[in-house]
Amino acid sequence: MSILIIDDSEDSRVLLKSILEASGYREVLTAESANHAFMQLGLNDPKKGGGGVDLILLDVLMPEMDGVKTCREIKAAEHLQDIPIIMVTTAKEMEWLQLAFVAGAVDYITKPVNKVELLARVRSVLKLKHEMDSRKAREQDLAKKTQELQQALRELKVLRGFIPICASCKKVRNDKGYWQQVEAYIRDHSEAQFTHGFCPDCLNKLYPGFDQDQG
Amino acid sequence: MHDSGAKNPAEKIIVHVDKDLEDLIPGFLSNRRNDVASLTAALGKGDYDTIRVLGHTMKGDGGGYGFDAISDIGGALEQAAKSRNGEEIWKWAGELSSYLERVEVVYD
Repeated sequence: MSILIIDDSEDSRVLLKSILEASGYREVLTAESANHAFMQLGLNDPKKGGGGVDLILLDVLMPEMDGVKTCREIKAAEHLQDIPIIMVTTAKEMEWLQLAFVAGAVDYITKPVNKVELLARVRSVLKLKHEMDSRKAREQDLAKKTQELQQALRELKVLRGFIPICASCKKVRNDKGYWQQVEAYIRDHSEAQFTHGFCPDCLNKLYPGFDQDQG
Repeated sequence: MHDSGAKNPAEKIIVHVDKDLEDLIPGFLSNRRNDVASLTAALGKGDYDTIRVLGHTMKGDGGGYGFDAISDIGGALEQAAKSRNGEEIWKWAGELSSYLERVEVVYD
């Protein structure tokens, strides 16, 4: 799983990266500013697929663009909106936190960073992300199977229920309300095929004296 | 991780730091020494914004590396810069410089 740290403080980026990597997270990326992060995430390039980032640790107070605005920009991009964001903030920036949660952040950790707290929060959020990704994949699979099933049903030819048939000419009224030959109706509604011949009564009527045995 | 305070200016300040951070500490302390120079220069120019940002950053980073005192000094610098109090800034810049001279790290 890949984690992106966005913080203008080099010491902060180095510390967080060190703690995460020592704990087994192999892909830890860093960005010194919002714009640098946007490039890595492919904010304006949906094909980049979010750069494969699964979690963002985002500093609240940064020059140029603060963490709240950064969070808002990321969440506004459809291909990035599912990436969870944990805000990293000092204790006196709580009013910023409220704005960050409204902007879409899911959690926060305080500075100075406590290693145990950081790892617990990261683990928890990544577990949730993994579950959401699995659920999304299952939903997409289900939607695809439903579509295939509906298509198959449309193509399925089944004769069932009451079939309106003319008592005189034996034409059948189809689903669209038109009267059609019974052979045509059966062909449209089943996999059956016809081989044509004459029944004995019709043969006798049409070809009197025709010897069936010598046929 | 903790600082053992020292009232005697000449006395060493022992700081116990997580061994996992050993490779990072020299760089962190070097950056703080650079900060002392930056603070002095900014104070000379009356650039309180730079001092505020430096203080804020120190406040956020210090404790994470095991240097709670640096976080405290950073917080004090940030407040002093917000109230544009040159004397306080000078005092805390001096505190930082003294601390960096006396600090001795023990890795546990």
